[in-house]
Amino acid sequence: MKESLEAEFTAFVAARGQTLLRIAHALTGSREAAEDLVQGALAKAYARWPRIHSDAEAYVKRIIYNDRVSIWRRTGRAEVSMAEVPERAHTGRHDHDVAERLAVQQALLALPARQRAVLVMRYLEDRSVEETAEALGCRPGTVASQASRALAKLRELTAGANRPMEGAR
Amino acid sequence: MTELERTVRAAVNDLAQQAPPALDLATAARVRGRRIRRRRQALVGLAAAVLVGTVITPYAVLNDRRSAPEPALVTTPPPAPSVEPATTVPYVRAGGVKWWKSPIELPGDLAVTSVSRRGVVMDENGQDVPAAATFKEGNVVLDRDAGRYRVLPSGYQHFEAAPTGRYVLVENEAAKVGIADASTGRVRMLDHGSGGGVQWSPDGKTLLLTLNAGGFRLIDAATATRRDHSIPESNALCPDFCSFTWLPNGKEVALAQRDPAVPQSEDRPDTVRSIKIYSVDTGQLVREIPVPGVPVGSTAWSPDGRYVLLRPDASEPNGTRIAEVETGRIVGTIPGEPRVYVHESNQIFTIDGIQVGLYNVSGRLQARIALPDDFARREAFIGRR
Repeated sequence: MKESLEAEFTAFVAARGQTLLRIAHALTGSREAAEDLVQGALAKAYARWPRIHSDAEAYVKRIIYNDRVSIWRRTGRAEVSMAEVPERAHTGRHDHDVAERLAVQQALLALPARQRAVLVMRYLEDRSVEETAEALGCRPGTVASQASRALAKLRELTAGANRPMEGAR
Repeated sequence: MTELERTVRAAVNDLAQQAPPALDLATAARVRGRRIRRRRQALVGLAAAVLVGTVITPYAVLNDRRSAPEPALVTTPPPAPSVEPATTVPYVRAGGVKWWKSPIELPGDLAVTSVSRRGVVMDENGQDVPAAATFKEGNVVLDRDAGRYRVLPSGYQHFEAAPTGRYVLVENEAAKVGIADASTGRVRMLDHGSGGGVQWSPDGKTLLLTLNAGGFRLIDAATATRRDHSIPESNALCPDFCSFTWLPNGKEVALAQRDPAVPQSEDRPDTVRSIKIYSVDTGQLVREIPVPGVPVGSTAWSPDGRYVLLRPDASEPNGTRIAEVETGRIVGTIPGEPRVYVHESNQIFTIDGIQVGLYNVSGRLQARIALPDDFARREAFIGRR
């Protein structure tokens, strides 16, 4: 690869690597799995860099989301169990709030990968339904139904948390 | 936005914030990216036979003469280094999804020999909750005869395969120790008397137990016969950790001695001045070496006897020191307090959760190996294949 493209790749990773890891960690709940996912996506991007460098971030994110869903499908199970949910509590917040968020984190990690991917795109990246659909290679209607199912499942999974979680207000 | 959605947003952000730091991702991606390119080129006939040996692996680090098995290769940056510069080290995954079907091989003819629950799990009534008797959760040992792992009873709080051979040290909730046979699954509990700090001999045939009254007991793993060497004076200068460890020759045992000139205090670890070496045959003091620390265990001695790894102390509270046995000089430090195994090549393996580190005697990280995800929150031991 040309030197200028190499430098461009390095600069891209330096600028966006942490963001990509954040997304991957939200998807996997595991530091190692997140690193692996991002490295895999960046490796694919590097292999095609001359062709994709103008739209690298979208390309890499698409791979991260789709690889994650593929891995989950291939293994046929959630890779991160409820027991592996990070135990770190956040200080300075109300106990109920912390317990609730922890419960939601646990529930998030128990969701099917595709539903989790939809929630990460919508709530972490603030992507629109259309953008999410494009990244995941599905129709907007599918994104909406996946999001709806995921929220229903979360409501069900967290029903036993410290306080009841309300629906729409 | 509903309250549920707000909470989901917060929870997703919490998860994202726990991401690891992005250390040298570009280098790791390049290595893998080039492999992808080469594969693609090979597939279209533009290149051939370029897939082998293109990535440096820890197998090469040990200069293994065998042709190394190809693990699922990944490279990743090292954890935030405290001693060395941020360089990329080889990183491989060991063991597949169904890892129990064959030995999890490590460089240098080593393998994971056992894995078990870490510590004690209590229910709300304070009762011990045994691990499930499964490969994914229970007490699992390498059956070398069968070439695969097997599950043994799960009601043990300590479960440690010998570094070689067929035996496993087990300890139940009453702190009673026993010996299990990895091939037959049979367990023999021992009436070991008053002592602790049990250590496997380098040949995996004898247990070494430190007697509370001073001295040590040897227990033959095959017959459970025992032999005591009473050394009351060995307790006189016992440091905080006061257990005998085997020397790699299997003929001597070692006990650290604190410095009597330094007042003892509960606020800080004892200062160790030297290590006394005793004969296994006679129980007599053979020599005293000027090593300033407590050996981490019997596998903390290099097989050639030149180096020993020492527990953290006041001089180095956050690291495991590597000492030159002859002079007592500290030649390196490994971060943290992992379990260790020193290979005959003088490479040091550290085992901490699912992470195995490979260090040289200067304390420089050379490679990292990830054990299967099932090993998270469990305790793995390594030894000869």
